[in-house]
Amino acid sequence: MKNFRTTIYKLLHDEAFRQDMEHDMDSALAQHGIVLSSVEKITVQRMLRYPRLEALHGAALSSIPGLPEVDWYFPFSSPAPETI
Amino acid sequence: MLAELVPDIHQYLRQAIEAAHAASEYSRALLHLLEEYSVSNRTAIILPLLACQAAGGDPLCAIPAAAAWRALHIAAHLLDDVEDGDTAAWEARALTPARIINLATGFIAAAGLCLVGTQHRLPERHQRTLLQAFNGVILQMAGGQHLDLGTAGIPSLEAYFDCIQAKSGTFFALGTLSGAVSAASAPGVAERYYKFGYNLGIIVQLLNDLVGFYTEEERCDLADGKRTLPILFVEENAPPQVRAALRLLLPEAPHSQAARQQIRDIVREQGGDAYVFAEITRHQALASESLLPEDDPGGLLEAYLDKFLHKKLSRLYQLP
Repeated sequence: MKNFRTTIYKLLHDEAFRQDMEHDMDSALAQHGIVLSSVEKITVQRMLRYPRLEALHGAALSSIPGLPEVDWYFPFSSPAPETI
Repeated sequence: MLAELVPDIHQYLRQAIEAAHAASEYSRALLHLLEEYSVSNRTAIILPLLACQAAGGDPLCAIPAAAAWRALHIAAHLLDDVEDGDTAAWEARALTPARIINLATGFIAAAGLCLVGTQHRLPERHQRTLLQAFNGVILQMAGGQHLDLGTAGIPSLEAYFDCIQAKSGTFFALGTLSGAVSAASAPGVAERYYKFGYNLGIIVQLLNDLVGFYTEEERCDLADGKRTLPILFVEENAPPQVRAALRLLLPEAPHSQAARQQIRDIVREQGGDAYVFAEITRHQALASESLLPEDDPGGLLEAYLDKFLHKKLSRLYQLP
């Protein structure tokens, strides 16, 4: 759990780590001494596959004042790209 | 359409309450509340019916379990209001916290009565399984609430997950388990349904936290001083200077809208809401993994989860 949280934080804030993860997730994790469960890896893969996370600080699309301004989404309603 | 059976669920619960012949004023108060609740949470109410159908059973067989689950849902909601000090609206209607607790007790008892009722009678072994499951979950939920009500609040992310697993995970697990048992599923299938519901329940709470974090009302999570998942993530992972800024702002949140907005900005900048999404995604994967393809050949439960996510997230984000 802690490793998963660390990975998410680093993906959002460490561009080099993010690029390493996009290139080869298993090597990047090993290089940083991070061990993830299979489901945690699937989650991270999904996050990497939809690389609009950096747009968290992007243009406002929210229709409700005071709510977050984001222009990204996770495709929860789309078919999962891989079989779990 | 399972939604068309929602009145039947409430009717079943109503009959269980009436048949108990409690003091008439008390029964009337319970039935009045039931009437009020009958128009809310319609998506959630059908979960045991959907699970029963997904497991190959007739959804009508799950009406007693769905009524019991609904009774427990109402009881938990009432107790939550008292425990969170959220009683102003009730007190305006002469319902003191003591009376709300007493009404919640009635709904907990009614849940048990629904399971052993004679109408749509469940086979005895299913009654026993369900009674055991319901009482076990009530204890677990109370245990989670006990953690939540601790004077120091939720101290860590681990404690937060312990709390929501006990409060929300087990409750939704009970919903899907009830459906599977009502469909006379084999124990292994029922156990996998339990796991699916457990992860669904955690997702429900994560979404509530996300919506609660971004809701700006007189009574909202930040104004109430609640430290939910997005904040706990930042407190654990952000650089020391960011954590220090957050520590200074949090005590201001109950009486300063500007402080609340600054907290939201910091948390979003630090990825607090992205992390909540990551956890939602992880639990969605865990939910999918819980079931074997033959457990739910029509994919009804996964479709329910997708639809639920989309509906909830649409409140916050513009989704395609």
